[in-house]
Amino acid sequence: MGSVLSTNALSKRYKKHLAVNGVNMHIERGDIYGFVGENGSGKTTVIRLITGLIFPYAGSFELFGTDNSSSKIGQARSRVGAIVESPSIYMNMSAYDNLKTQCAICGVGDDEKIRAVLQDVGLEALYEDKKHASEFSLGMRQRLGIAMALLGDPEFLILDEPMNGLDPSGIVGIRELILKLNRERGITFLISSHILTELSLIATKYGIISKGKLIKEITAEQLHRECARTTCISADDPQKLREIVKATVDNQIEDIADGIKVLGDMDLTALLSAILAAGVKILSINCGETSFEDYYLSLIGGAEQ
Amino acid sequence: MKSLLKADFKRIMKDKLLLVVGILAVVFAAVTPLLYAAMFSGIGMEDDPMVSALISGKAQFFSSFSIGNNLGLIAPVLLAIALCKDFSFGTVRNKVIAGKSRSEIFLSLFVTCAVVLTAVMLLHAFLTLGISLLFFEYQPTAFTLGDFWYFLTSLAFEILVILWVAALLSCLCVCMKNVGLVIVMYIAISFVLVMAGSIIQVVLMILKETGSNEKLENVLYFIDRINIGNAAAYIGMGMSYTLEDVLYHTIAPVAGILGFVGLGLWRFNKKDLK
Repeated sequence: MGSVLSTNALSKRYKKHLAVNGVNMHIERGDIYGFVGENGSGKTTVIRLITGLIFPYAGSFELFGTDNSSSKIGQARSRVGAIVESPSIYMNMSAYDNLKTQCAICGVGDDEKIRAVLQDVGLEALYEDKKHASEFSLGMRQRLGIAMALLGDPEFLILDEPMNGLDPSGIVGIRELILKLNRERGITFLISSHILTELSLIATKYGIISKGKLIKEITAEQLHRECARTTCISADDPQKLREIVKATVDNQIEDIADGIKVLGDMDLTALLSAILAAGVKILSINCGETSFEDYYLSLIGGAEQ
Repeated sequence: MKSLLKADFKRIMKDKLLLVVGILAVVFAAVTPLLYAAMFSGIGMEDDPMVSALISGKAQFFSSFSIGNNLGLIAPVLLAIALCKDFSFGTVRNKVIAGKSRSEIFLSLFVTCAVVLTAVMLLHAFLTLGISLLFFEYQPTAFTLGDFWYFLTSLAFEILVILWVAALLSCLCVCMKNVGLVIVMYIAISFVLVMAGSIIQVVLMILKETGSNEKLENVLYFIDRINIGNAAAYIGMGMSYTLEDVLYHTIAPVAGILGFVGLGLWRFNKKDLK
């Protein structure tokens, strides 16, 4: 795997306001890291710190194993592409001229490369179009921004709120592009968003940030487990109930008051038959499911408390 | 650095403002000598020896570099708008994210500004000279080899002044938050320097005539000579330079260039970008 980004107590202070407070996040090669948080939680500030646009107040980070204080951080950054807040494009230039300028900055590519990235983002029609970027729709600008970020053949792509302001087809387009680039080119992604349902369709790992603090880092698998269907059973003999459940199903079990919580889907009929056969008296059964939103809100609520 | 320069020149060349500056360079070059010619022939003074020295091709050529009038004021303002687009569009982020150092980005901005401004001012000055020669002599006396060297030396001094302007503009671009502030600051600085130059020259004239305060006279003279806003009053207006002239015309702008470039580098290396 190998680490792409690792932050160590990264902090940023604006006068008296601590915008980012001791963030420790870890992104491995191939991850699609969903960076989740409410507006003003510090997502963009963390991204700005990583991309070198602003300087840390305290803490550090390693990008491809290079410390941010190292003189070689520029080399590490050349392996990164990013869109921070909004796509950075010259509004008075055409898509082609924007890409040509970016080619010069990255010291790469030619017209073939430009044609290829435009094709990647579904904007091949703009190759010969002299229309200025100021006349583009938001979705087109977003795609052009991604095309510019792709010019340097990045291994790590940072997209700050890439779905913002896009229509449903635009969102699907960006999502498919991210999945394609991750699958076909192995590009690692850091995607910040507050559209949780959208992130849940692509992310392999999540970082949840609130009020400048990273309150949870969790893989999609772990999240799926935590959000999966839960069955809470309480009985007159919780100890015996636990033994029966353990012997009957393979699911993860957690203790609750007067009973147990079974995580995930299972054959409930078989389980109940086993409990009744053992003579244990069931006091209550509650079945439910936690959505990502509920999970997120419970975390944020916890952080606020 | 090379890649940044390529990118900066590319974007400036694509900017329509450069075309506007180019057109203004041609228009001002044509209009100024024409106005002088019309004005002095209208009042019947074209044969006056004093007037012919003032409105010679040489005087027209070197005064066209003045930072306080016509293109000398407008070109830096328009160029500032073009240069600051990197900050207003946020495209400077692309350079930082691509791994370029802040120092490289600033120096590339300065070099681009210096080259474009020098090219525009030289185009304007040589066009002014060419059109002026249609109406006036280059100078009242015959043109000698010494005049040629004086011309080249004066041109080098003028280029130093242009580089000083480019350094100031680049520094303002990275220090200010928006293009409006850059323009306001640049115009304010230019006006203050030009006005201070004019006022000091009048005061110096009075002090010389009255001979009342030699110490004050020396101080004001020194300020006047190091004032870049008043460089047009000294460069190319005589027949030769003394060692003192050469020192004033080189040390003052070079110190300014180094100061502004140093300040810009220091500030930009500490600045958080949006």
